[in-house]
Amino acid sequence: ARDAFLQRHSESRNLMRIVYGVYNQGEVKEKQEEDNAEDSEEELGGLFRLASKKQTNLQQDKDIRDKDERCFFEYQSDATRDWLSDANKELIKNCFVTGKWKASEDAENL
Amino acid sequence: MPPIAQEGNCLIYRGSNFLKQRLVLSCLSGKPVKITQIRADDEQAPGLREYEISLIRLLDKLTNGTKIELNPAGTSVMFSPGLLHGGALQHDCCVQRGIGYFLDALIALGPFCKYPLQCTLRGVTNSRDSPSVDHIKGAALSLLKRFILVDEGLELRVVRRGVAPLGGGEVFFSCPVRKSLRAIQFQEQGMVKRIRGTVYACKVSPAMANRTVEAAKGCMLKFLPDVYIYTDQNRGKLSGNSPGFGICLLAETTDGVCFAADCISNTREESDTPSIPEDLGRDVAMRLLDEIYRGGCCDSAYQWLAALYMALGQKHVSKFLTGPLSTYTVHFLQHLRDFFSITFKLENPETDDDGEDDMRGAQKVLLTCVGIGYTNISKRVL
Repeated sequence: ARDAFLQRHSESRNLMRIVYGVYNQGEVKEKQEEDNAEDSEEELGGLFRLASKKQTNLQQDKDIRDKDERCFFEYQSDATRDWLSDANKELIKNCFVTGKWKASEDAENL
Repeated sequence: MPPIAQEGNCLIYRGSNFLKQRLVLSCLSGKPVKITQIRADDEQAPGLREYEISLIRLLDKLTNGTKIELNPAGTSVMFSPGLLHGGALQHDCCVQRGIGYFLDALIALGPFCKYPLQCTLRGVTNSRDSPSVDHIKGAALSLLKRFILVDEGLELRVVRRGVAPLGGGEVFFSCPVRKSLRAIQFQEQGMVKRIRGTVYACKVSPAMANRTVEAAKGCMLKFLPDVYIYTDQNRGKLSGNSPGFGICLLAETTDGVCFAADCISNTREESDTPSIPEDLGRDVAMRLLDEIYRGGCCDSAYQWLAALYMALGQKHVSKFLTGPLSTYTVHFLQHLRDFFSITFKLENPETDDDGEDDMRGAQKVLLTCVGIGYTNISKRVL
């Protein structure tokens, strides 16, 4: 879940949308058409869905409205990874000078 | 959260979250801001908290001609900013939040004041809810240095330490002024070359500090040989009013990027079991490694600061590589658009064709924007 969260937050296609909402006029239109299409399929269901969507937006709005302000990076789950395990160590090994360097900056290859 | 309405120049928001972001951006943009329904649903204690009032007071001291209107219940505040003045000032910060909360605002505003800021803040220097003073000194100031180029007059000094709940600490912060910030292109984070740290113990046995060092060092030495942790033992007046100990680790890279992580012991109110130094040391090491995994060219707690300086820079293209965006930064970017109508381009940098084994931590995000060419009109031209 944690990786999925990170992935979602850093995938470029969604990134602009996560931050700025639906920003593209074309996309807005597309979305409306989509909605319309689905609505005509099942009218009652469509109505119901729209309302619930609005509700979740409101809920989200409420959730963050009065939260305490803090600038730390927050995960959904609070536990940090155990970096000492070998699988995790592999992930960050190259962040250190003791790891593998990029070809362009490696003295051995120059 | 978008503003719920806009009256002429004034932006109207709802809720207490991101109060600091909104006030800071209001001061910089000169747009008044009105915040309504602050904790209106909270029956025990509606309205502004003491620390938020303390922040508003601090901004009032920093500026000239600021008008603040609170409604009697404290659930609504109208803030119309004056000119950023700066100069020497003293402030007793509310002990509910750490000094970091207040210092963040000063760092964001400091370069745009009329006179260089020389500020003494008193309160809780190290706390769980805000970055500690050591964290700011390492991570935020190194970031600021990149934008102002010459760091003469930039200083953050811990005069006295003080931990929650009673505080009693003191820091001194001075910041030079600039006419404008330069646009920077910063896309190489480099590799971590050394780990530095500070452990402090106030009104507890010095052994606590030493045991914390042992544990933290033990973890970090598995990754890098260059680890040095400084122990800051204080006695009497210099150690504040409450007992506690904690640690702050900094990781420096070959390109001068600083990552930081904090950890602090429990206070008696927070939990019944006292903190164990070994756990604390291990915990902070894990957090630092988390931070290194996220990577980017600034600490994740200061992505917002980088975005702010980029937006206010000269009218050139700025590029900045960060780790995955934090929720706080996402909201900050939204607020930047509200106040300055500036939209960042966010994308993933293309990875090298070296393949899988060259991965350095998490997927990065490249922020690109053209600065709005903000100039500090109050600064004297010599």
